[in-house]
Amino acid sequence: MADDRPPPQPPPDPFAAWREWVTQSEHQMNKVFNDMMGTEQFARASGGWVEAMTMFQQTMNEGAQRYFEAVNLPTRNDLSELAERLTAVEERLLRIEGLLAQAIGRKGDANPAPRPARTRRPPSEQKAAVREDGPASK
Amino acid sequence: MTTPPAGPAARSATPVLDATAGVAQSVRREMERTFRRSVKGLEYISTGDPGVGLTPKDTVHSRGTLRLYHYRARVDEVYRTPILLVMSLISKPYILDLAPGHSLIEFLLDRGFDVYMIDWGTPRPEDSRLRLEDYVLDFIPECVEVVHERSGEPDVSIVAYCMGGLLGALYAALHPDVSSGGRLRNLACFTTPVNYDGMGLFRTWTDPAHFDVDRIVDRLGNVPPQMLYASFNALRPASQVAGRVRLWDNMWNDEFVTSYRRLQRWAADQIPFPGECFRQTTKELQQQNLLMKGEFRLGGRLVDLSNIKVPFIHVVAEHDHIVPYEAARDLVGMVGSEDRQELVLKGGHVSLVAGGNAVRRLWPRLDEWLAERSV
Repeated sequence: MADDRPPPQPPPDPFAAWREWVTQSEHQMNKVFNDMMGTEQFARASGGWVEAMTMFQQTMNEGAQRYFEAVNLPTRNDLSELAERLTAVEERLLRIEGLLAQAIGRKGDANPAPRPARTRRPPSEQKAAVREDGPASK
Repeated sequence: MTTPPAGPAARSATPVLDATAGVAQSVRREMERTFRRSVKGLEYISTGDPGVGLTPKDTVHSRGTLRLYHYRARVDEVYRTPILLVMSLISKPYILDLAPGHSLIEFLLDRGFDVYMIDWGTPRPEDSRLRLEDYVLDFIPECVEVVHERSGEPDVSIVAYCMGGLLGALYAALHPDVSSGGRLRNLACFTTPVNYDGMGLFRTWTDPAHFDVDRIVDRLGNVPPQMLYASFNALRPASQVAGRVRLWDNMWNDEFVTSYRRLQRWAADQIPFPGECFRQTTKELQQQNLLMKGEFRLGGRLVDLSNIKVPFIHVVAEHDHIVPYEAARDLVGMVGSEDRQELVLKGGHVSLVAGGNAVRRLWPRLDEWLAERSV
C-alpha cells in the first residue's frame, strides 16, 4: 500500500532563516545602491570627489617635495630617478650575463635539475590506446 | 500486546513536538558555535595572514618589476606545450596560487603541465610611463621568447585572467605570424572585457563629462591602489558588511575562515595602475570603446582580433559584477579561430578562478581543454 503521507519537513531553524535574510538584504541593498550610483548625478558627484582628492594629493606631494628640498633631503622624484638608473644598470647586467652564458655555451644552472619528459598524452588518447590494445592482449 | 492507534490529539501534537525539538537543537548548536566563535575570533585577531603563492618556482627572467616564474614540475612526464599565465595589471597574481589544494598552478602542475607565469610586480613611480604597447609588443613577446628558449619547445599556450586576457588577446592579434602556427599554440582567456559599453557602473563613472582621466594621471602618475579598491568595493557596497556577518557566523569553521582571509587579503592587496596605461585604457577602451569598433591601435598598428587563429576558449562567470557578461560575450565572436568556444560557468569574477567553485568547475574544464591541445 502506497504511503500517501507528506514527506517529513525539516525542523524549523530560526538561524537558517536569519542567514537567508542576510543574503536577501545584501542583494536588495546592492541593487538599491547600484541604481543610485548609476545615475548621472552620482557620476558627477563622484567625479567631483575624485577631482578634490587628486587635487589634495597633488598639493600634499608638492608640499612634501618643497619641504624635503628645504631640509636638503632627497625627494620621491630623486629616489625615482635613482631607482630608474639602478634598474637600467640591472637590466644591462642581466643582458651581459645572458651573453656570457651564450658565449660559454650554457644557460641557467651549472647542474640543472632533471627535466620531465615532454611526452605526456591526453587522457582521451590514453583511453583509446587501452581500447585498441584490449582485444589483442586477450 | 499491540500499541493502540494514535488518536487525533496525539497526531496533531507530534509535529509541534518535533518542531520544538528542532528549534531547541538549532539553538543548542548555535550556542556551541558562539562559544567556538569567541575562541576562534581571538585566534583570528592574533594571527597573521595565511601564506600565499607558495608553490615552488624559479625566477627565470627579470626586467624592472616584471618577473617570469617557472614552476617546478610535480610529475615525471609533462605535456609538450608549456603554459604561460598572463595576469592582470591591477591585482597580484597569487590569486592563482592561494594555498596548497587551492592553487590553480599546483593543479596544472599535478595534471602534467609545464607552467610559467608573468608577474608584473608593483609599478614604481617611473613605471607611470608604461603603455599597453610596452606590455603587448615588448614584455609578453620577450617572456614568450624566454619560455621558448628554456623549454626548447617552439610554441606556448597562453592562459590569461581578466585584464591579462585582454593583454593576451592583443598579443595574439598583433602577432598573426605567430598565431598561424608559430609560437602561440592556444589561447585561454577568463573574464576578459572587450565591449566596454557593457561595463555597467564603471562605464557611467568614467563618462568623460564627469571623469577627467588626464588630470588624475597628470597629478598622480600611477593611479593609487586605494582608488581602485574603493571603486571595486563600490560595485557591491552591501557585500562588505554581509561578508563580515558571514565571517562572524562561520568563525567556528577553520576552513571557511582561512579561505575568507586568503581571498580578502588578495582583494585588498591591490597595486597601482601605471598612469599612462590607465589613461589609454580609460580613454580608448572604456570611453570610446575602440576595440569593439575595430579602431583600436597599438604602436600604430590596428588591432584586429580576427587575426587570432589558434584554438581559443573564453571562460566567463555567470554572476561577474566586475566584468559583466555584456562586456565579455563578444570576444569569442571576434576571434578568427576555427576551434573556439565560450564557456559560461556559475560563479563570480574571483570565484571563477579560485576557491571551491573553481576547483569543481573551471579547473577540470581547463585541464580537459588544454590537454587535448598541448601535445
